[in-house]
Amino acid sequence: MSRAFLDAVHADPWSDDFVDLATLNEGASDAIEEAIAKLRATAREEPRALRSTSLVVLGSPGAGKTHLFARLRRRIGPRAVFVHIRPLVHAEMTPRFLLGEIVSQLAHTTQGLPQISALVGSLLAYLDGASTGFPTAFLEAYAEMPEKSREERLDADLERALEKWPELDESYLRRLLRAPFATGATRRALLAWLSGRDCDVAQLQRIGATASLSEDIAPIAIRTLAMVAAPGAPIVLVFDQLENLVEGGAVGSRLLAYAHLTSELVDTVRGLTLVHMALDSEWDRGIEPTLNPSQRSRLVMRRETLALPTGKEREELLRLWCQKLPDPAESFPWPLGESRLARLKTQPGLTPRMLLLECRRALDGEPDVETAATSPADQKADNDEGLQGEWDSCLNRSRRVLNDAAEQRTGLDAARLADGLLCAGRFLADAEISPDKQGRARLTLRTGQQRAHLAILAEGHPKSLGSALNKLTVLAKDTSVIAIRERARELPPTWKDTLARRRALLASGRARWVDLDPDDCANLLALDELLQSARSGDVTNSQGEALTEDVVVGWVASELDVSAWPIMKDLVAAPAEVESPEVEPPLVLGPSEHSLLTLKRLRIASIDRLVREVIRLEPKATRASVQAELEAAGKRVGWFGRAIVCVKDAT
Amino acid sequence: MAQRKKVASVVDVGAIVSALRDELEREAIVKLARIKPTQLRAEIVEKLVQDGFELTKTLVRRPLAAQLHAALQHGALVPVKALGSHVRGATAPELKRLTEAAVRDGTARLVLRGAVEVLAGAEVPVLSGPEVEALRTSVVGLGKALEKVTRKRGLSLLTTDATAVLSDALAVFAQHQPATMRLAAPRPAALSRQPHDDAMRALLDAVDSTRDLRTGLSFVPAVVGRLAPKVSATAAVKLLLAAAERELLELRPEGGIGRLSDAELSVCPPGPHDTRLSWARRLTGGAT
Repeated sequence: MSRAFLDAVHADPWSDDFVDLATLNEGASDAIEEAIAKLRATAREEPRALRSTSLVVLGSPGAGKTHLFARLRRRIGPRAVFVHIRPLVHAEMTPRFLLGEIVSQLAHTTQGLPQISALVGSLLAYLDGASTGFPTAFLEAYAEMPEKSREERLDADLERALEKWPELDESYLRRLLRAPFATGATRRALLAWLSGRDCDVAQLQRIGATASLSEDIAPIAIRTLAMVAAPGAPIVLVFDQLENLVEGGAVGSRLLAYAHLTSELVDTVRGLTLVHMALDSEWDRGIEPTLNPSQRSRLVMRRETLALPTGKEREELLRLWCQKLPDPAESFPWPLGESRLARLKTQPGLTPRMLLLECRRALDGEPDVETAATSPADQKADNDEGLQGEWDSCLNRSRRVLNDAAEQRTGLDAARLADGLLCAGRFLADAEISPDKQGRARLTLRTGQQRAHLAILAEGHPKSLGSALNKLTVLAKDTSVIAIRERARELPPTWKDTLARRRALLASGRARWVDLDPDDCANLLALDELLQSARSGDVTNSQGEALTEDVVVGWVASELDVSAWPIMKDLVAAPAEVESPEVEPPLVLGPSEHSLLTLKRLRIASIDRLVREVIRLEPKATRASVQAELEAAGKRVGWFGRAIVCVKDAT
Repeated sequence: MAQRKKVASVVDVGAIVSALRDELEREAIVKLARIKPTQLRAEIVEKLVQDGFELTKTLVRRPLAAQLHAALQHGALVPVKALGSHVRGATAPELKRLTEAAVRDGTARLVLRGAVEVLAGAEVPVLSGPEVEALRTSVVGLGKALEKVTRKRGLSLLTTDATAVLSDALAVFAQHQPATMRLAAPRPAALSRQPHDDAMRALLDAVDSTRDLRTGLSFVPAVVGRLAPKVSATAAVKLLLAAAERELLELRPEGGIGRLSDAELSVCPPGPHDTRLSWARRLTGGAT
């Protein structure tokens, strides 16, 4: 092991390579493990008596809540499916969001086995009356069958499952059973469909579906997943960093939505283990008092407060870390030294994270100074360095998410993007972005007296996108609308009907179309994560000291220049329409002659080249404006796929 | 004398003393008049007194302290007014003196049940003076509020407010629950390091009495407030740090988001990495 574990101050819930002192907070791990084992036993012995269970785990910042998740995952492994959910910072949690998180994390591997394989493998074993302890062996047996035999066998398993649990959703279960055996594009399509994302035509064709899952199917899908997983690998939903639900000490809609959703899960879903993790003081003062007695009785069936390590445990923890260091110069307590070790064993209030930082400092040769007084300038430099590092890490992670989405040929989660926009909106001087309380669009943008509805169009299917565009067109009769879509998911020219609907929307005069560049997406997701971590006390400076949310927000305001991000400029620069029927707003993407003239000259060209040529003539032109002109030209322009365009009618 | 010798030669004094001893153990008293033969009464009584029984003008009795101890065994509660039926052969002044001495020595506890004063054994958990005060402070406000609420139709209390008061009150009782029900039972390692000084004991009492039953945590400003005015805030903070170093309790850094007022911050000991230690937890072996 390298010293990388020392540099990773925050626990990675999906890390397989981590150091664990099993006796530390053993009670909390045991409580969750017992709950899972009890639930599994009930599912097998008394399926009718099966219910969901809910525990609360509380602790100080850095006490090891996320580490507990990693420990349980490693300890219980494929015998349970673990889902780690951080709440949205600004938007409400919905069943659809939850389903998306569950299915996307089914792709994560535990002990080398994807969680979806563990779930389906143990289910098939259970239905066959075999031991659920060896899901891989069972899956391999199915995988070796000829496809036709396997299909027949899976159909028979489906029938058996429906006999046992008649309330299951048949089409959902049918596709779930096939997911571990599918490969490549079919597997991606199956997972996209199971997660409730909007699938494109090709994906639906691959999996033999006529439509994506609708919003109202999400609770039924969660119920199906939970119930079939319970006898073999029960699903454990871990809600982490719940302090992010507290809104300035007030009872916010997000907290109420969360309480309602999780209470509903306990009431209506059988076989789930819910674990709620939060900072102890925030839960006690900000979250639990807002729950009504019925919600409290459902959520807080058991409570575990994480202890800080005792002197002996601290020594053991430090010893474990030091033993993992590559090429130690001396034996333990190197690199700490006796006096530093003695201090760390007795100093009150030290969390595991602080101990890790002390270990890192010692390894870096920093002297043992318990309370070094630093000048304000040094303090700022430490903060800036730490925050820049945190930001870079967040940015790297969000770019990975973007790459994964590109590989999967899916879009980003609209809820996360909306959350990012809401975060970024905090840093706009003259504009305000807020959730749309009326539910007509996802967000609203207010600039002075003007207001516009922001819709994030993440739909992958032309029909569902067309339907969303129709709704926006109706909305645009009364109010201004800004439609946002990832540039990476441009509308292909073959979606003629959808493109016509977009033109109709834009022709309303109250609507704008904004393309979201990959860099913007990465920035928004990273900002969302950074502010979420700040609220949880997980952002530290270069010395490892936790920074308050105010400090982080101040740094973002001064260093990141959020208002200059292209997406924010696009949203704010062209003012939203005044809500006055007398004023006829101009079309933002009106047709001009540049694109057509250039295309006539070139006769046939790729979109990329055409955009380059047009921008050379007209610097203000953008890819979107060129595309809009071409679309507006109708039959005068011919398309070859999505990327090549030609002139059909040269007059 | 001759008569006495003659009687003694035909009567087994040892057997009589033994029988009387059994009767005293059983009945607690034997009237002098019942001790026969009369000629040997003095000799028999002398032997009983030598055995530790007490002699009054009219009877021999088991020692009053032993009778009281037996009456209060196994958690029995004896109303002071009914003490005469449990401790036999004592006059009213004697019973009064007996009660006072037992309470003073700590062999019995005087408690109020309803309107009746009752004696209890030393092992029966009762509230200490500070705990009584803490409990009174907790519920007196609620009592007043309830009176007001019942007087005005349509008026009610927030469930959370009432729960908070009752939770505070329950925290006082927490340390007296049986071990299996207790939220925080001192573990053996901690017991071996029990504090010897009164200040530390008072601190731990304050931590126990301010403990939130749901979380097992005590809010440090509340602990410091409970110790005031006898212990200054500075001294209380020092005591907290000393207790933490001795692993009698765990001090935890504040995780709240700007929830502490300046006054609260001022009594929370500074922790590592610029944190404030705002929560205390008695080190326990059980789950909280």
